[in-house]
Amino acid sequence: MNSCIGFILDEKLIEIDFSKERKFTPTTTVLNYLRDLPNHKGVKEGCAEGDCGACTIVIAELDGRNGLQYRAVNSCLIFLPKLHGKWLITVENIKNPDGSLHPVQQAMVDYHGSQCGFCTPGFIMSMFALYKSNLPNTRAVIEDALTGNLCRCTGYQPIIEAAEFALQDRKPDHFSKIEKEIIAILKKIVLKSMQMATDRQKYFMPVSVTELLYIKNQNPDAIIINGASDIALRVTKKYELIPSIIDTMQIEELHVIRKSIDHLYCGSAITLNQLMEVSREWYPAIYEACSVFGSKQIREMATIGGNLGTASPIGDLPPVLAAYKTDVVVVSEKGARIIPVDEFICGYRKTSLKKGEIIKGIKIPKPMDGTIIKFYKVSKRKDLDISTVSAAFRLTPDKEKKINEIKIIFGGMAEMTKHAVKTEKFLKGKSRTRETIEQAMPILEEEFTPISDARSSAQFRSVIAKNLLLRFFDDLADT
Amino acid sequence: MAESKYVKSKIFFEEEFEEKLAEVPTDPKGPWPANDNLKIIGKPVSRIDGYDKVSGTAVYTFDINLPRMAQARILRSAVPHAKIKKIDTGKAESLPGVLGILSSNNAQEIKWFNTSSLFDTHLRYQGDEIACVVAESEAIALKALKLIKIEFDELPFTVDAKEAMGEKAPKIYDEGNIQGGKPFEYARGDVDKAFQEADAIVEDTFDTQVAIHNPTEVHCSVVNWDGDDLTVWDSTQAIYGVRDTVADALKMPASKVRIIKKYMGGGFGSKLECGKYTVMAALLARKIGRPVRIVVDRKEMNLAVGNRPNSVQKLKLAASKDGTLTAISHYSYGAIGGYEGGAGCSWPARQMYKCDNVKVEEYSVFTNTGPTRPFRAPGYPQGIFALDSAIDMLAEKIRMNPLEFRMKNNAEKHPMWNAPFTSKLLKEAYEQGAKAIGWDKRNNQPGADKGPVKKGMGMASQIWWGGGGPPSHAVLKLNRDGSARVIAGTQDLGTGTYTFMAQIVHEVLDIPMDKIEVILGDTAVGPYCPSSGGSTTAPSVSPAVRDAAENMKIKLLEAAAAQLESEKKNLVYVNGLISDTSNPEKKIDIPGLMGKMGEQTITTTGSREANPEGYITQTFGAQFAKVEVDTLTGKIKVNKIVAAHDIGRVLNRKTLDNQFHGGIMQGLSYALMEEQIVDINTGKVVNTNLHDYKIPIIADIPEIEVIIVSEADPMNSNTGVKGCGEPAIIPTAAAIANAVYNAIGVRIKSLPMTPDKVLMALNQA
Ligand SMILES: Cc1cc2nc3c(=O)[nH]c(=O)nc-3n(C[C@H](O)[C@H](O)[C@H](O)COP(=O)(O)OP(=O)(O)OC[C@H]3O[C@@H](n4cnc5c(N)ncnc54)[C@H](O)[C@@H]3O)c2cc1C
Ligand code: FES
Ligand code: FES
Repeated sequence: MNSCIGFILDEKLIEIDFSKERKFTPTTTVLNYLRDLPNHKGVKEGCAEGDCGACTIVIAELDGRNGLQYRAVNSCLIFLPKLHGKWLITVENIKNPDGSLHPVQQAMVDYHGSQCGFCTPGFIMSMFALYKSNLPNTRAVIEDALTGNLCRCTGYQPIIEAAEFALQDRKPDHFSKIEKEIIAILKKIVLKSMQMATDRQKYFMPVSVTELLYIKNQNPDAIIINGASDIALRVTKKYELIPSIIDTMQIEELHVIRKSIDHLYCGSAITLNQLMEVSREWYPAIYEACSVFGSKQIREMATIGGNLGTASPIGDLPPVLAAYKTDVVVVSEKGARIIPVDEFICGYRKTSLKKGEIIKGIKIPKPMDGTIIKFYKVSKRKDLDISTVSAAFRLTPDKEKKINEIKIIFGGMAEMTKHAVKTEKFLKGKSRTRETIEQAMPILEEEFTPISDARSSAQFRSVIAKNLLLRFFDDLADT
Repeated sequence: MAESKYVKSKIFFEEEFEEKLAEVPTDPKGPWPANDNLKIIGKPVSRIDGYDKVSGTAVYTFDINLPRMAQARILRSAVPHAKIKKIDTGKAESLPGVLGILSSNNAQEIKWFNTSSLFDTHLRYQGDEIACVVAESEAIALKALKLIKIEFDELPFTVDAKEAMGEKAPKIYDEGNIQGGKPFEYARGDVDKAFQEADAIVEDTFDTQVAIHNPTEVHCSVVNWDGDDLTVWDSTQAIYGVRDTVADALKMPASKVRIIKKYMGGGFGSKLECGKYTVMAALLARKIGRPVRIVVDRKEMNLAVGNRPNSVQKLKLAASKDGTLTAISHYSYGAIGGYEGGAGCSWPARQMYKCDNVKVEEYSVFTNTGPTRPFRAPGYPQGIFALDSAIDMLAEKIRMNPLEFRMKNNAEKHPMWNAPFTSKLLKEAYEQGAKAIGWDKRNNQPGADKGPVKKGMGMASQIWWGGGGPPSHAVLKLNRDGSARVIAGTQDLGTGTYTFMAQIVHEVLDIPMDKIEVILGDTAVGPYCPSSGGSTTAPSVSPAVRDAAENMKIKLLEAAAAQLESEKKNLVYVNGLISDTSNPEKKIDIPGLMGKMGEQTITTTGSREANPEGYITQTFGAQFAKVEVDTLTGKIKVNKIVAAHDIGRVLNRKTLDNQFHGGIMQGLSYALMEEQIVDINTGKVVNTNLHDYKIPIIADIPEIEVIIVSEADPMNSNTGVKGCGEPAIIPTAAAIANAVYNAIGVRIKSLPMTPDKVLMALNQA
């Protein structure tokens, strides 16, 4: 049985064999692991739930093209086994071997990017990942990469300036020099089916869907995790001991992206960042939804399957996927089924997955020319915020500019993502005038009875739902 | 050695005047010239602790790790009001790895606030301390907390200040829920008469939310006993304050307690006093004979270590046709939670503007909610939000431009005491700020923009203390190689104390920056300096450092005179070189001179001089906001803030900009998003994490322009520095609120101005 993970830290191969390990368990977070080491206290904890970025680390992994891909992630939400076969980089590793500062660090000093400095290691790591990417140093890219890092002192301006400067001219750094060596070590770490068991916990990392389904059958109560950005909170915040986990990280079939002439297929383990990249061209509203989803660090972990699996009433993907008439592909040992996303989510945090079934992927049809789909999210803060209300609209006009087809889907208005069925019915076939929209308003209001919660009042939700529909038609007028 | 004397010194700290007997120098050093004529003061100097911070090598209290260190965590009340009947720790104690548990069962009685104690059986809010467990690891301590069984009687609770003031409300203290038994009252002139004679009156009620400091490093301490000497590493803004509280609580001499704080992850006032957790850790560490680390986690921080209290403010203002502000009446109340605190917010009403008739009545009310602590300019952002909203309303009523109205009612002397200011450049701030924002382009007609997204412009004024004062001391040591070490019992919260202390030594003595070491945050080595709150650190400490450096210069000249066999009067000190004007051959640099003394170090001390008798030192300013409001979603976007302030001398342009940007963003956040929410049905806080308690992220920032209208305040101290940390946050919310009104023509009188409130207000208009 394979119970030993291998990863690189401080340029050395580290192995943790959970069958022998006393201190750490498979659900120990990378943050807790690092903070337990004597020389990695630079990694800070500010919240232990993905909301502050103080714990940001970088994971570098083989990119399939003989190179490495660097991703900044929240170490507080990552279980140790997820490091298997990867290079873990912390703030302690960033400065040059002679002790001088890396360009991103030097810029943070020169531009006064730290005040108390407690957030600084996290920012350094996010900036470092950006440094190692080929993304441009535009303000938008920088803001996006640093959205997951909170700073209570500086007001961010100096940090943006530091990033802009450091990213201007990205020379090879000391990481570039050792990449070859690292790649060689990483290649030696075998990706294999693993089962890490302690006396109170089992953590499986299968390598194929078939194996996963078998394990799931044997362990019906096992929880499947993709990115674990939801599940990790149960461990870090509720101090739950999850007895049985199946991690999909090593299953290649779940990581595929396939584009054909009329649709896009994404495996369930595709991250929100990957989805964002592939949707830019054909699916602008999905791109939009991804761009306001959590933070970059969260998007590096969070997956399509996880977002659908959670079936949260305020999840950002379900409304927009529904607007694109997405199908969910599910499989069990008995075979596959295809379920429209509307039907897949069937109640408050409830999916129509049957026993033994898992989400394999999604199929997003390419909309016809002329169809307009838009996504809107209303939340308190600009990003890294759960929606108060989100909405996705789809409209296909016919030749006379009448509403041939309309879909109106809301998140945050009911116990689950929901269509405004009556409003859709009313609008269908009508002409696209202000008057028609105004006539639809009372119908829309009738259709939902939202609740009040900490995020906002029921009354606000009702008004905003109507206004978002107005906004959609206003925006259409511009197109 | 420089001479000194003792004076009674009055300084304004947070919300009150404090009088202290203070040692001050008798030979105050003259003022510095303008920054243009100084070498390093006022320049954009990178912080000297930058390397430590970006490399991850800076060690915070949170990171302290001692051999054999055990971990402690606190069990807190899950209900808002209860009386404990029984605590059963049996199961928790038998959990392997648990080293000790303290609760009212076994802890000695240590008085805390009023009639309460360290482990009180009367639980006054959700988060009140019940027990403290120390264990081999944090995980074990947390597990043990779950195993402690509490039997208690739940008591009726009140979480609303208004309700708590009523007759029927459950009493949190026997003497009633109004702190001190009565309101704070203040009056000047005849308000009633002024209202009768007024040409225009506005009257309205404003409310503001509870806000949590939420610095990124949570509160934590590490304690270690060595015999009967206690060392405490604490994430604190007040090393001396913590020392005294710990020593008093443990009934030990202050000299046996040492508090150390090198780096800390922010405080904003929440770390201005000693927490119960530090004392608990000390007791447990003594009990188990091992060092103990105690951490208050993010949830506990959002419950139990302080907040900016809410406020409900009823304001009535009057003016005459010509734009004279003739009367202000301010009635307010706010919830201070279960323990001592303050919800006052009337300081702006009393002193912001010249106004002959003012009446104030304010209540701080005990409730079953978390405690208050000073939060960046306690009372002021809320007070200015209400006052400057009402000022705009009044100006509109008499058809006067609100900028002109404020200019007209500018107070030349302090309106409460009729005393002159050491400096006041508020008019200049109004003028320069208005010019920078383009005030003349402001909508004349609020809400006039066509289309769903409307733009607007608004402004508000700022007043605060921030003059600092004695006692405050520094020690300077010069070594054989000409390197220097400057030591003070102050602290750097990230504000830049380390850096400006080094800059001052460099300015006076020309010792290279990299040869100056700064030691602070240690009661065992640093001479006394006050706690770091009230924007007083730089104005109190910088003159003491300069005094020490100037005294060093005197000593060096004396030493050089002996070495060079010159007359002292002929010696000059230029760029670190001492030369004899009568004989160009005779010269010596500092390392050369020091080298003549073997291993000796020369030591000087310096002190903050007394504040000038009969004068008031305050900071002033104005902020201007440009916003756009989406009337379909209710979202407010701040596009630009111009901050124009009189804060005396700028010591370091980079740290200054940091303070302003940070303060303005906290103000913006206070205006638009952050808010603690308590469920009135359960008395519990709904949002105890950073997911639900929103603070701004990088994408929320507007363009910010900071204009400093002052050169220095030479009457106040030898550096002429006034504070800037708190002024930054004070007018932001009010300026945004006024801009929102200008954009949509509907006034939002409640903070935070969430999309929810904006849409509802628009719908009702
Ligand atoms: C700081 C933070 C910010 C966030 N912001 C947003 C946001 O803006 N918008 C938003 O919608 N969500 C947000 N989330 C929630 C979360 O990140 C998303 O729901 C995410 O998509 C979950 O993906 P995951 O892979 O991490 O899920 P996991 O935690 O791995 O799984 C989530 C659930 O799905 C199930 N599941 C996972 N994979 C499968 C599968 N293949 N088959 C069947 N079931 C499966 C799991 O069993 C589990 O119940 C945020 C979370 C955090 C911590
Ligand atoms: S500790 Fe806050 S995001 Fe991980
Ligand atoms: S510098 Fe203090 S939180 Fe960023």
